[in-house]
Formats: sequence, C-alpha cells, structure tokens
Amino acid sequence: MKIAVASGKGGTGKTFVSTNLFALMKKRGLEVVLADCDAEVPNSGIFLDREPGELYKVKSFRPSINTDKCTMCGRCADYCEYNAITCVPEMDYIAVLPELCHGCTACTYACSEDAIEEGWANIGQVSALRENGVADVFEARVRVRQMSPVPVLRKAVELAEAAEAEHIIMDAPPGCACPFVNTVIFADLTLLVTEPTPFGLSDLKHTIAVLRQLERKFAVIINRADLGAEEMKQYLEEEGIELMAEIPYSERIAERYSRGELIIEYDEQIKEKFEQLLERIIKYEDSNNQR
Amino acid sequence: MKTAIISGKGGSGKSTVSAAFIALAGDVVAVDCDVDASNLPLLFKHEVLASESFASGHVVNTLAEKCVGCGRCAEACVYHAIEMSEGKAVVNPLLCEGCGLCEKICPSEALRLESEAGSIIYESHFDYGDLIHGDLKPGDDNSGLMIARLRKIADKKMAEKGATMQILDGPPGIGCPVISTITGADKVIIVCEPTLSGVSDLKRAYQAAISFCVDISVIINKADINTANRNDVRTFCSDMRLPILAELPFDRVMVESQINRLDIISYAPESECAYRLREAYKKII
Repeated sequence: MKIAVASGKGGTGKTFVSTNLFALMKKRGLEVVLADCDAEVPNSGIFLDREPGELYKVKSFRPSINTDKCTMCGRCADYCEYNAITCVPEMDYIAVLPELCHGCTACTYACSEDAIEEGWANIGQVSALRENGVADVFEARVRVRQMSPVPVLRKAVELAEAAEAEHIIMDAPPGCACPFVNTVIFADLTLLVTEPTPFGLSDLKHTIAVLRQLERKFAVIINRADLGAEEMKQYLEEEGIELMAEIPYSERIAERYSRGELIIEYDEQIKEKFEQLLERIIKYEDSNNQR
Repeated sequence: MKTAIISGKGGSGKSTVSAAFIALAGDVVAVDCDVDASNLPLLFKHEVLASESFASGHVVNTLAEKCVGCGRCAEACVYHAIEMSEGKAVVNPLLCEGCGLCEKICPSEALRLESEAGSIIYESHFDYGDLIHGDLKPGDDNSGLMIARLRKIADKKMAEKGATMQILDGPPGIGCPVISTITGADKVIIVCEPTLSGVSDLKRAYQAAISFCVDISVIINKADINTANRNDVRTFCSDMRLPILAELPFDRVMVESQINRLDIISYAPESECAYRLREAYKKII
C-alpha cells in the first residue's frame, strides 16, 4: 500500500509521523520504503541513520534554437504559453528565457524546420539512502531557484516504486497546490497530519477539499492533540472522516525532534501511539482488500 | 518599506511574527502571500471591501464527441495529465499545467485551452490598516502569479494611503510562490527554529532569497529548545553576515495567542516574546 503523509499547514508533524511510522514498520519486519517528496526542503534523511547511496539527477527539457535552421516564423513563440520564447523577425532576433520555460516541449511540435534542439537543465536530484547496503529511503531535492519541484518528487516516487516493497510511505510537501497534488495522486491512503489550532483547522479543510476533488481516500492524525481538539474532532465527526491517531504535545518530543532523533526509540508512550496507528493502517488495508 | 517574512520550513512561526509586526506597525498594508493556506484573515477581524475573481491558470476542456481517440495528446503531455479511457482523451485538471500543447496537436480540435477562474482575491480593512489576501482555488497551480497580483493591489493601496509599511506573510518552502513573495521586497526576514530540519531549511531559504534581496535578517523562534542547533544558527548568520533580529524563547503563550485569535502583542503584551518582537521591530524600521 502507498501511504502519503500530508498536511495543508507546514510544521504540523508530517516528517515526524512519516519517519517514525517508517522506522516502526521496519522494526516490525514489514517491507517498506520511504520517499521524501518535500523536495523544496527535504528533511527525512536527518532522522534516519542511513549511508549515502546512488544519486539520480533529474533533468527537464529546455529548448535551444539553431539559428542556422530557424526561419523566424515565430510559431514556437506562439505555442509557448509561458512566454519563454521571444521572437522579433524584424530584428532577426530569437531567444529562449530558461527561467520561464516549464519544459512542456510545445515548441518542438511548433517548429517545422527542425530548428529547436533538445537541451536538458539539471533541476534537482534524488538521493537513495541505504541501510545495510539496501536503498530504502529516496530523498527528492530540487535545485534552489527552480520553479517547480514536481519532476524531482515524481522521480523519488518512481524510484520508491521500483524498489518493489510492499509499502511505500511518501512524505508530502505542505500546502495543497501542485507539488502536494502530484504526491497524493499516487497514494492509496493519505494521512493528514494536523494540529488543533485555528490555522491547522482552516488548512485541513482546504486540503480535504482537494483530496475530495481528486477522489482520494484519507484519514486524519491530530498532532499536539492536547492543545484542545474538540472543535476539530466535531468537524471530523460531522464530515465522517476517520481519526486515526491523536498524538499529545510534549516538550520531550520537541527536544528529541530538534536533535534529529526518532521519538519511538525513546518514548514508550509515543511508541504505543504509533503502534496503534500502524494497527489501524493494517486494518484499513485489510478491509480495503476485502472490498 | 516592504518586508517579507519567510521560513523554508513550515510552522516555524512566520504568521505569528507577521501578525506581531502588523500590530506594531499600526498603519500597514498587510499581504497574506500563503494563498493556498492563508492565515492572517483568521487572526484579524476584517471587513471585505472588494473582491475580484482571478484566473490562476489555464485548463484544458475536452469535447468527447470530437475526440477520435488517436492518443497523440496523451503521448505528448509531459505532465502525464491525459489518459485515454474507452478510446477518449480524459484530462485530469489537477495535473494539467495549461501549456496547451494538446490543443495545438489535436487533429480533430477536441481539446480546448481555457482560462480558469475560481480563485478569489480580497481587499479588506482591519484595525491595523489594509489586508490583501486570497483563496487559491484548491489544487490549482500558479500561486506565484496570484501573489504577484496581490502585491500589485497592495502597492496601489500603499501609494493611495501613504502607508509606509507593507508586510508580506510568505508561504513555506523555497519555490515559485516564495520567489514571487520576495521579489522586489526591501527586506526579507527568515524565521527559523533551532531543530536540525529548521537549520537545514534556513540555509535553503537563504540561498533562495539572496539572489532576490540583499537585506536579509533572521528571527530564531523557540530559540531555547536546542542550544547546539541555536549556536549553529548563530554561526551561520555571523558567517553570512545576517543580523539576528530576535531570539524568541519557547513559550506556549505563542500558540495560545493563535487559539484566542489574537496577535501576541495584543494577547500577551508583557510576555518575553512580545518584548523581543518589539525590540526586533525597532531594528527594522
């Protein structure tokens, strides 16, 4: 099963949940790999003791124009919805603005003179991280100042799938725009990690609207639950949304987390919570398989 | 002066710091640039004065009766947004980036690129001045473009009212919406927390910001939760010559203020956090 761990609001505990759940599943002897899809600011590697493995470069199409073949017809500029090609026939001038290019390849279809040559820009990388020589964590990291992390996080998911483990956990990026969509779309179940604050609840509702539009299955985990989760629980109940876990707030957790440590290694109470969560996930999977 | 507040890592306290600075500024044009999860309107009672619909992108609509099922569009789409289902092209609008390639190569004119409205931009009035905010249509892309529009409205307001301070509350991450938030800002403040992830994200946010703005400073939130990491942040800031405007102690009063829907300056004016934010604000003006 593929599980995405997501949240609308940042900093609610996605990486905390995904790394601890992942480590617990490993301890239980389950076959599982982790894809860190938060390619703008990936962090799961910090919490997992792994050796560096292979690096996979991610490239995106960027056109370059062969001016010997170009007839200045301007069709490529017309095809480009991102205004990344400027063509001024009167001045015999044509140029590509690579920062605006989204790599859609429309220009190559536009050109009848074969004047658009394929170039490839390095937009990021996926690092495979290994335990005992076997890669089980795939961390997406987009290059700074790149517009879209999507091709990079997709590569991480692709590599995680190629590992052919029984389970994949995907640590999703925050927000509910395209990087988020391009992660949860692969998941059989999305776990939304939220916190019971006005910001947390508002962002959760936005995220749920997107997941419903995508027709994705999801359940909720309330982190820092003892801040007072009544309003949030009432909302979940009214909407018929499954609450899979409540994790209490504790300075111990914050402190361990700040050092890049896995909480399940040190805190029996929290470990218990994650064990209950895992049981519910497995139960969820079984009931889904029967259907 | 335009001050953008960003963080790299989500949940570091961007909105809390922004809200405090807004309260301190008094007469301000505030912009909530986190358009897919905007939070300032939840914190401040406001009255919407005007709203406009915003076409945040393009989407492709299919005319099934014209589709001949050749599959060229699905093959060409680099975003994997088109699937062939029962011999017809089906576009997933959430994956579609609106490049329009499919429309151009379709032999039977079965696909049409159309601009998509559905996002809304608001101009509101609140106790501290003007609040410009928006709701990006869920799942839409192009929040960068929408932020650019919010900022244009904010600049106009600023000129009209003669306000001197504009505060931009940024989105998390370091990608296109963040770049759109900090482009042309006079100051960028990075809020970070001294966790290993926080330190790593501060460095990424700094790299992203430095090519767009030279005046960058840092606020360390929850500064006392990890001394070693806090010292790493201090060292990084001193190496990069980034002033640290404030180190805020870890205090539940910060989250309580949010639960009570107030900025920290109004909720707990005597708290250490409020004191340090007041001192920080004096440094930026």
